[in-house]
Amino acid sequence: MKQLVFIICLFSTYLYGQTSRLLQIDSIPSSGLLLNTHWKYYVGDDLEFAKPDYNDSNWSNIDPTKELVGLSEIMDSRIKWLRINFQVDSKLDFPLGLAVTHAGASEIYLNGKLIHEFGNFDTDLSKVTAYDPLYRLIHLPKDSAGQYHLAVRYVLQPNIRYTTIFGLTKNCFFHGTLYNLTTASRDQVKFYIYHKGLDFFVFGVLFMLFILHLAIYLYQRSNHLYLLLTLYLMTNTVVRVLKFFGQSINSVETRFYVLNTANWLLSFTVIFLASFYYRVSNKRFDIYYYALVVYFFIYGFISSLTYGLNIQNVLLLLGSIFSFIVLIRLVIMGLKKKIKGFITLAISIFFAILGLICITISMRFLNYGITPTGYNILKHGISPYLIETIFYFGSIAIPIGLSLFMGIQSKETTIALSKQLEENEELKNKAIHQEQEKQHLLSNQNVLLEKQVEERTAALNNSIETLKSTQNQLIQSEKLASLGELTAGISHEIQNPLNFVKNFSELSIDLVKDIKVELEKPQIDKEYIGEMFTDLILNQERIQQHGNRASSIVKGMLEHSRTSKGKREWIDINQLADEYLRLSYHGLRARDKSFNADYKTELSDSLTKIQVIPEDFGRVILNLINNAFYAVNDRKKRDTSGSYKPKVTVTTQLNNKQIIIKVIDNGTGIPKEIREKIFQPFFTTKPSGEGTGLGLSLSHEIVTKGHSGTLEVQSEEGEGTTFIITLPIQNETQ
Amino acid sequence: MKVLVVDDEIDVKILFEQRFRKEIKSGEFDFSFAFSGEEALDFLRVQGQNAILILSDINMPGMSGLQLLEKIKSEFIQPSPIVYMITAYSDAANYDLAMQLGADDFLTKPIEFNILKDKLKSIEL
Repeated sequence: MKQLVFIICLFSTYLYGQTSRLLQIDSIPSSGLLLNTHWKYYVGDDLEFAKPDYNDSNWSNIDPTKELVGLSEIMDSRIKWLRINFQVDSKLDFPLGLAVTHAGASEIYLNGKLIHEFGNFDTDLSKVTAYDPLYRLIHLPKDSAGQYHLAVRYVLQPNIRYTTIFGLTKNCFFHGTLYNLTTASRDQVKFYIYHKGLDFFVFGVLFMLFILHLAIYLYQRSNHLYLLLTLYLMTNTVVRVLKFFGQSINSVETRFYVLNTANWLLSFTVIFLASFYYRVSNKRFDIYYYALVVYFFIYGFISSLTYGLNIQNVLLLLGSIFSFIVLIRLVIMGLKKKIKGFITLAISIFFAILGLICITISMRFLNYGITPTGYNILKHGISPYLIETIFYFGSIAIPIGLSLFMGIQSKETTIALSKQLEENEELKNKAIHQEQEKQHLLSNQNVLLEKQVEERTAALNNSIETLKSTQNQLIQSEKLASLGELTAGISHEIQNPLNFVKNFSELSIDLVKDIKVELEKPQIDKEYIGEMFTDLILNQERIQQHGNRASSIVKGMLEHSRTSKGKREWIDINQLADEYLRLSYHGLRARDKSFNADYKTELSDSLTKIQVIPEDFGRVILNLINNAFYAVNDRKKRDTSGSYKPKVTVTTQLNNKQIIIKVIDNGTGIPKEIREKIFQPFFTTKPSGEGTGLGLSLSHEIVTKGHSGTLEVQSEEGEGTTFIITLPIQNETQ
Repeated sequence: MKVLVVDDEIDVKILFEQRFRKEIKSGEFDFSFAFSGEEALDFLRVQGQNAILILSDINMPGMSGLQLLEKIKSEFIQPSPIVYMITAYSDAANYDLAMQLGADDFLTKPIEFNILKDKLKSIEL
């Protein structure tokens, strides 16, 4: 603490001559009596100077309460003496105390006796340590006459720097104040506690805000505002701490380092604060900002190096004013922009300025100093507590204002976020709605698609039906075609038995007639009659046989032409093969007069009847035989040697519960490259109009699918072809 | 009179034998039967050419009746055997072809044996 005592007790009792130098003190105010007159000063050292009766009339007058910087004549490291004599009225019977603050090392003598030593005083200057008692009260024992002869032996510590901060700490030559020791101690403690309490309070508030914003920043690193605020609060807190401790440091040298550090940090505090304001105002750093930065750096250097210029406090004051102008300008801009929370900033600046004005006016114009009791200002009816409170409150107004601002901002952000959230929710709902609509549309489309698919499927089914019907028609055509091929054969095959029937009938009639004639004869030739009867019987058998033959052919033809019922019947494969071979042969002969071929059957006797679909299976056999005849005929037509003898053979075999039917020809053979295609529908090598290309594919299907058998082909081009049908024999045979 | 009947139907033999029972008994006709063109040719080669051939079937497996006719008419000349064609195919094309190849007569099935008998009896060798 430092005091800049407002002098009100100027007792103008100047005595002329040596004796008139005695200062008469009639009263001592509770705020103390500053001893700033009646001092004699001398450069030199002699312990005689301490004696009360020493004649110091030739010494210089001085006001030693001034700061060192104002007393250029004492700014050296020579030993100096100060002397003052005062008489205290006998009515003042309380013990007298002297509160001292100074920037050197001293020995204090009262009435010739050393009563106190501050710092390390030594005639060896290298051992001198400057010490500031910081208004420490020392008791001045009263002598019998009530006179006080005070002498101070004084020296400055060489090669050290002096500093001040906020105008609060001063480096006075010798600043002494008289107090009523009884009350002063109590007041001093009381005020000290209050003052320190405020310091702690401010420090605490700043520290808490610093921790709070640091925590917020750590979890919101993207928000640089918190960083700036944290830095501001951190430097501010450290400044406060340094100031707090710095003010209590007695060592003048140490105090310089501590307070100078605080000074530098103060510059940073201002810079961080300004940066924060620029940021919240959404304003780029401009010339003012940079000027401020430069200014405070200069201030830092000056306060570190140039104590002697005594412009530190002025610079700080001007700097403060400059900073506030910059901040106010930004706040006004912000207010104009209607940025939320700027009113808080404005209010905080107002209180900060109020605090500054209050302390400045008090210190500069009312000479308020934080004396041990702070009571000197009471003379103006102003409570030092009030001043202190306003000042301290002012000093935390900005940090609190900034925190509130951040709170408001945070609230705004939260509101904006919840608004955004609502909007998002709305958007989400909208999106969901759209999605639902989409889904709905999609489902509609699906329905449409399904409908289309159904329609297409129906169309496809129609096509398939049409195709099936066409196929059936084709199959029918194929049947008719093969039937057509047979027509001539059939007529021949029917004609032949019919001829026999007719011939044998006629013969039989003749025979009966002959028998009758013979019987009418008187002499019956029984042998002859017997012969005729035998023939008759034979003929009847022939008739029956040929009738059956014709009937069978007609039946086969009907079966061939009619649509398959898919009903299995017990069929003699040998008979079937034989009939169709003949039918086929005669059919071809009938169609083509030049055609002829040898044909034969090699039918196994051990064959049993098997269950086949007669109309289907007959068609297979017929188809294969037709093809065989076609092949041999084809080869014969191409044959130039004349040695070729076309031959078609149909064989049946029983082999391990399988019936194997082979249709063998020695025709043209099937080229390898088309062998795999022959079972494909509509594949034909016959000239256009002669074949449907369905014969073999249908045959294959009938054998494999209809009868669980196999239809294979073996062929050698130019040698002939063998179609092999393998049919499984069912367990039940007939 | 030697008559060779060529037909792949065995029953033809029975038919002829019964029809010409009396003539056979009386030795008026001497019937022989061949069941394929090849057999017929063999018969002719062995038995001589003075037989009347009744080719009762054009449709025979292997060598057809027409082929046989052609063969006979080209192989056996001076005198060429008399060849009667009897067939179920009574169409003009077959008839023309048979006559072209030198058939001596063309009869259709079913065989009218009375006509055939008369025709055979009228042949003057």
